[in-house]
Amino acid sequence: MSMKLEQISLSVGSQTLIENVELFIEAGKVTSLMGASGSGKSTLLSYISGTLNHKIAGSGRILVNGQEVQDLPAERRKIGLLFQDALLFPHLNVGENLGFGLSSAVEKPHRRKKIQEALERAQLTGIYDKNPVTLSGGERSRVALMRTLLAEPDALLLDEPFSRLDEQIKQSFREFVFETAMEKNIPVLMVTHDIQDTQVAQSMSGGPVFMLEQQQIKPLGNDDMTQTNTRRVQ
Amino acid sequence: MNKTATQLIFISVFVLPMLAAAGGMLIPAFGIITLGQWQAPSLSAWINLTDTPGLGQSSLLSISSGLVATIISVVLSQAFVARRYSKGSSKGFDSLSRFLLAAPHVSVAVATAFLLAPSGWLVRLLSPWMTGWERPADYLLPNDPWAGALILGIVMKELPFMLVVSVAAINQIKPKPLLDTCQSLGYSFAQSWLFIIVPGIYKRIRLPIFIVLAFSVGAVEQALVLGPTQPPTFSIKLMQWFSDANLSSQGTLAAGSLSLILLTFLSFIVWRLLEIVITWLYKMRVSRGQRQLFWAPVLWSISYIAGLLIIIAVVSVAMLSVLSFTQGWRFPTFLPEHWSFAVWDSNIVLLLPALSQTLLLGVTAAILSVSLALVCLEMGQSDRFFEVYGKWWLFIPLFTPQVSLLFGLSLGWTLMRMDGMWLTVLWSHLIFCLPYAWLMLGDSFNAIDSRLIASARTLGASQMKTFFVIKVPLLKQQIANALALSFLVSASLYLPTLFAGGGRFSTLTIETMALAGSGDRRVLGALTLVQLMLPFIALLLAKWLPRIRLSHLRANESADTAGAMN
Repeated sequence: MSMKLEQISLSVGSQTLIENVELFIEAGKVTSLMGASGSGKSTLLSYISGTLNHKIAGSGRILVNGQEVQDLPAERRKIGLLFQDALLFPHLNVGENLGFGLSSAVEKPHRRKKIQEALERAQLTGIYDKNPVTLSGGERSRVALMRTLLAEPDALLLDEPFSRLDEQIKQSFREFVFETAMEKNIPVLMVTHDIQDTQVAQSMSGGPVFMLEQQQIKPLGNDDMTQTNTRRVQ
Repeated sequence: MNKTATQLIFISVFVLPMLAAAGGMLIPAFGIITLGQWQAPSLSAWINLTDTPGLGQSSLLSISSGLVATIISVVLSQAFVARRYSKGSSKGFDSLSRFLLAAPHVSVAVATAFLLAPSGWLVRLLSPWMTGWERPADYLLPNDPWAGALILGIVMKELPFMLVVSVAAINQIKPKPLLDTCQSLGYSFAQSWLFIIVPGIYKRIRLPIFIVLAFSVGAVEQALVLGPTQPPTFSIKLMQWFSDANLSSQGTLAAGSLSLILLTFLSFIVWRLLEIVITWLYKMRVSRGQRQLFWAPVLWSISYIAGLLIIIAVVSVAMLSVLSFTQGWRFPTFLPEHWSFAVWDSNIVLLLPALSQTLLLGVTAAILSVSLALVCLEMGQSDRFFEVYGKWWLFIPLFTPQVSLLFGLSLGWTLMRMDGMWLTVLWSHLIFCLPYAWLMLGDSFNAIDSRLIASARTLGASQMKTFFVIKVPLLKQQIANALALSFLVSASLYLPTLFAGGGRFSTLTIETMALAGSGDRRVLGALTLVQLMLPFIALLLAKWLPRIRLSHLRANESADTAGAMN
């Protein structure tokens, strides 16, 4: 499995956000994308996932496992998207949120089993009937990840998924996300501001790190990352 | 959802009638159709119109009563919300305001008439111990020539509306840090509120103010019950012409309808000039640094007047309802001497068909308008047609005098041979219910976190499944409120039922208006009570229905059903 972006351009009115960007995202690896606020990182994820606001113009090819998906509606692209806020549906309980991710092809007797397995995998047994509002930030994030994975995506997009979590939960959840993605052998594109996220992603999965600036995506070497880290610390 | 089909539905339900209404006024007004024949354009209809005696006075009455009623409503509401904020929320007054807001215009108008009449309960309250009157005095209230009663009636109905929109604006502003800063700079609460918070509120309630102004200038129900008669306001003059209309006077009627629209726009211009003057005065004062203490007594005095007016309005409506259980109520006794159900027994035949027609029209119009508003809003998120053009069409019925719009529409219905049909009445109700449903749902609909929707879509949910399984359940309270509001709008519509139905359909509002001029007050009381029960039930249902958890519609199963939709 892999995901390839070809000649991607995004613009709002006359303002160009991204121009002719190319990117290859390998299966089982977490590719990191850094960049300043407003540089268009999250907009790029919206274009890839098919949820781009109609005021933003986008063009270019998106290939998932060699298949072009850019003209498909979001629900048929099979590209999972995880945000910094867990964004569980507030009117559904945990089990129902997970059930929402499952395909309707999974028959009724197996649905609950699959959901329970997902909860066990996320070490969250016993919260099936809970209201998402009562969960901790870490628990909500895990449920959101499992919901995304239950939809069996061919690729996964992470939009700063760890930025709202406190340090201790962040570490364990980050490792859990990367491990799960590697285990599922799906390509992952992570947008982040946090250099630590990219370092962990690189050390765990061997995925490359890119920087989005001046409408272009450029690979970031270890020296650049050290500099970025130093600038951030300063 | 098919965009083209939705656009077509919206255009045929809403846009075409607006164009037909414009054509229905413009074509006869310029003599292009006279006595059913096509003619060369002429200005004879306008010349006939200007020759009408008392036209200038009627125009002046319409504009002045509309402007004065709107100014009073805005001033009272701003003072009242300041007081409300300084004292924390006032649940009692909030409930009373909601009660008045839900009460049909005609009920409040009839109640105001009963309050002010020579044998009304205000005089009874003060007689004979204060006034010395043993029999009803001979004074001209309501229907005074200066439109005082009309202004009071409009204020009683519009003040609660201004309060509700102002409270919503305050919730958006979050005034505490601003007030804290002002007060730390040495300004009193009242001055801080007036100088810093009111401009913020005003910016947010400007649109509702113009809606109130347009409504007040073209008011019909209140003007029929409370307005002057010699001469009447412009809208009532139009109504009178409409009732005596023959084919030859259609041009004059059309010119009159257009003139009422022009009068409304003239009142907008006057309001804009007032805004400019007040802004200039405000700018002069605000940066002078004067810490003035007199604002507090001024503001609090006005707020007490507002509170008193709300109480009087509620009591008036309640007193009118009480009338239906009386039998003999001699002047000047304050409370009825004998109680009876006789009015209910003898008028049940009148009430039941009117009630069932009101319910049928109201429920159908509410369901259709809320459904259409939801579909248009959903389309608006992916389609420029609805985002850019849709909402502006919706505001036309809110800014145009009903009598003018309906005159224009009635010509179109007659040409299509649709006048007097139930479906036409429903259509006319939809035109007035849809804008309210859209306004009620719009902000909440667009405020749904777009990432929540993106999550659903990337989990494989189609637009339709996302709409039904995520958006609709998230908005169930707002949808219930919009249904209740649309129902109430429909139940209170007088002119659309009259014009589109050709007098063939009896609703509670139609019956109330028919009796308002000369009918038995006790029957009016019974009609008012039934009309007041409808909002009460509708709002109760709106509160209670969304709490039902439809467990079989929840996610696991919805995934199955929605799979079929994909």
